[in-house]
Amino acid sequence: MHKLQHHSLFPIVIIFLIVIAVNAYLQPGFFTFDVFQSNLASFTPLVLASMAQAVVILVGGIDLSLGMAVTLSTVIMAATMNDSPSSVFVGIGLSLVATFAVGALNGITVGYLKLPAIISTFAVSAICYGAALLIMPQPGGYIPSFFYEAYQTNIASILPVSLVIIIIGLVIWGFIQRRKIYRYIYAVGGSEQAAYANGINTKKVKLYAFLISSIFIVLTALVVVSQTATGDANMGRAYTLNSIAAVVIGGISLQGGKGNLIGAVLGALILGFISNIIFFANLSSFYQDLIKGLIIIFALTLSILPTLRKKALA
Amino acid sequence: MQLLEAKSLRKSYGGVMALRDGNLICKQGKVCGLLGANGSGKSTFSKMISGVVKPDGGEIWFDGERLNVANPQEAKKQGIIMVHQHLSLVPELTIWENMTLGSEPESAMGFMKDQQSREIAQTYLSKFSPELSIDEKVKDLSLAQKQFVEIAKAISQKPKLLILDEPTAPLEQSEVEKLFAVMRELKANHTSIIFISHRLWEIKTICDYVVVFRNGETVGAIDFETEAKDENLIVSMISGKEHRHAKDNASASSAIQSEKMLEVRELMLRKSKDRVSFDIKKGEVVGLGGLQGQGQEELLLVLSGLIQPKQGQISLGGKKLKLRHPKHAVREGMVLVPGDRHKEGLFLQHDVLLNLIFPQFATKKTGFFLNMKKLKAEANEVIGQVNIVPNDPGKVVQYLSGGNQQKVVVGKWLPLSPKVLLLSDPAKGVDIGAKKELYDTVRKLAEQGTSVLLYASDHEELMDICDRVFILFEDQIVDELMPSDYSEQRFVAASLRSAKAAGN
Repeated sequence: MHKLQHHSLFPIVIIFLIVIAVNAYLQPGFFTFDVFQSNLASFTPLVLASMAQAVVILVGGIDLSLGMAVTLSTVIMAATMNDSPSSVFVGIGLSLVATFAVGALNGITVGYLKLPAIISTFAVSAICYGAALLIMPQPGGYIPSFFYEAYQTNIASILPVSLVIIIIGLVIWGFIQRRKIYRYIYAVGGSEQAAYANGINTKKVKLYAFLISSIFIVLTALVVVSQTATGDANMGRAYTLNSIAAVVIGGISLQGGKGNLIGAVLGALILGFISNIIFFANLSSFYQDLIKGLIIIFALTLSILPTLRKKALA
Repeated sequence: MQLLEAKSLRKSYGGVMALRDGNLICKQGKVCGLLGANGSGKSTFSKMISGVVKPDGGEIWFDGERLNVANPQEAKKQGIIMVHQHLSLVPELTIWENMTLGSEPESAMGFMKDQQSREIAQTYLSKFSPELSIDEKVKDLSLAQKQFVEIAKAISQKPKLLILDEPTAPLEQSEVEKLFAVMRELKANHTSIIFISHRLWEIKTICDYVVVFRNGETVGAIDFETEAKDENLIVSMISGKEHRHAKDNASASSAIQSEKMLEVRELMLRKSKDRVSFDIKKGEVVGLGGLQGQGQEELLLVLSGLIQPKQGQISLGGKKLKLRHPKHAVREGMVLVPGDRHKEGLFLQHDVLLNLIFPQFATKKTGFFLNMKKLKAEANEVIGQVNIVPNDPGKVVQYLSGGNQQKVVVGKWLPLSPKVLLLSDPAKGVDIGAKKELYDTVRKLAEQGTSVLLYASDHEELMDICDRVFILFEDQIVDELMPSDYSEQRFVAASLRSAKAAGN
């Protein structure tokens, strides 16, 4: 138990259990399969977006273009897809290209040009928004029903597709974990100078981190477009700050180099449950955002408690 | 047989000559001591050999070939590895991850072979600290342990030439012996070592020969295998002057006044440990000795208001103090020169002027608008008093030598005319000349009536400068020595004596 308490994920798991308990109390039929599936389906986009954000924050950066990169990707899909399966592949292919181009642009500006990430990714965000507006000035486009309905189904009637997509994300991360780039992301985020002194190409590591992040951004866009079944240039904005909040609640240091991607997943789920709690508590809509903000501050405080205690000892 | 020869290396930074004429020969399987004051050029010189700095002129011959390396990685490939003073470890990674960082063994498919990395790390780490787990994160290690990880990592890459830049600075005596044992093992395997240190006994113990730098030039070499290990000769080569102790013994104690300055009663520094009580008179210089980690640093931190004691009383000039915050101590005139000057003592990126006037802000004597003219005049006065070189208040502190940085840390307190000056190992990483100046300043302050409480890891240093030395053991004063009864044996005996034995 003592050892468990000192695990870096310990406070997050506690918060996670608390919000589940409150949510289960308020939401009728919380433990039924249908509710589980619908909750999961609505939480999945933020979970994936937070994984994307986590990789960038771990390397010591921050991605303010994330929401708009998701938007651009969904708009491209909605603009190119029709009822033919080939158009679906073209749509996904084009949005892959666009997302990786955005990742490369971020990686080059932050890594090679050494621009401060908080400003340069903000600028890239504007570029993405502009491009999305050019493609689709008004919300619209078309997503074939076989595509978006697939997201609501269950494989072998027990495995929701949304869960499968999260698992795919985790498997990709598991693969990366066994490669050098994984350790270099932590090294560069933890101490860029020390990483450089060990012969690590820190610019390249930053670029790669943004490209890895792009994988998760594409997955996010796929899920978002399946949920909304439309393209809208004003849709993805909220993912940027929500993903950062999830990452920080998940115990990943904004300074980089410290934390765990699982923490980001839990952080995103916690934010999802908090939204649920607000909804099922039957609060007046005027209070919802106010209460949500307070709960997030509370969750953040809990999640940084262990670091505060350590500092007091030093 | 010679492994490396450097001939007439030159380097200047923006018109300032850092190195005028650097020459050195490394013999295979020998330890070469590289000596010189801070700013003598030895640091620039060793950075050239390890590929960090590109020389403006001169030649380096390595293993029979002209060496021309543009970066540390190429030097590493040639077999030259330098262990830097400022550590190149990532705090959030574990020991084993750090030890193979940048050269991870991997499979043909590009997957890391962690098991192999762990074995390499274990093999080399156990030469130094067999009890230390390779799964510890580097941020949780002591400075000494970090230093060991750093050196073990360098050795694991099997260098032909290993450059150790002040590796012993954070180490205790027993740890230094461990390092020396590993260095002897490396020598036996024909590795050449360049060893940089300010401690003469270390040089005399481990080096086969020494090369001395002064003012950017090689001024001479002494081969210990054929010549005597003459300490006075070495010191005069380094400083260019005759060696003299900081304290002029005859006049030393005359400054002490009968008036009590600081009274400490039953102070409990840490939980479930013993208490400490003592008095210090006005103008007295008192040393804190003993083994490392016996509460010396905690005592200084408590007195400067940085940590709160569990119990006990502190009075200054008869007035009882409650120190809940460093500003309380500063306002009472009890100021600290901290152990880590880079982190706790200086604003490295700012100029000397700002660093010198900053403490006045805490005293609230500055008023609503700053009187910069007056502050500048004060700063200039301090620069003269402690002899900061160059005497330019606009100089950015990080470009000063270690000794001059330390003078800034001491000097910033002078305009407050402190009643008690607390110093935590102020001479760490400071060369012999600057150390002497620093201690001269401390003695001068004592003569003007400031009481001084000094912790230093070097015993002889304490005996040179202090009027009395307390030996601490487990947060308790177990013995008190006067310089007249000093002997290394007595010191060590007192340091090792348990608190119980002393109580009887």
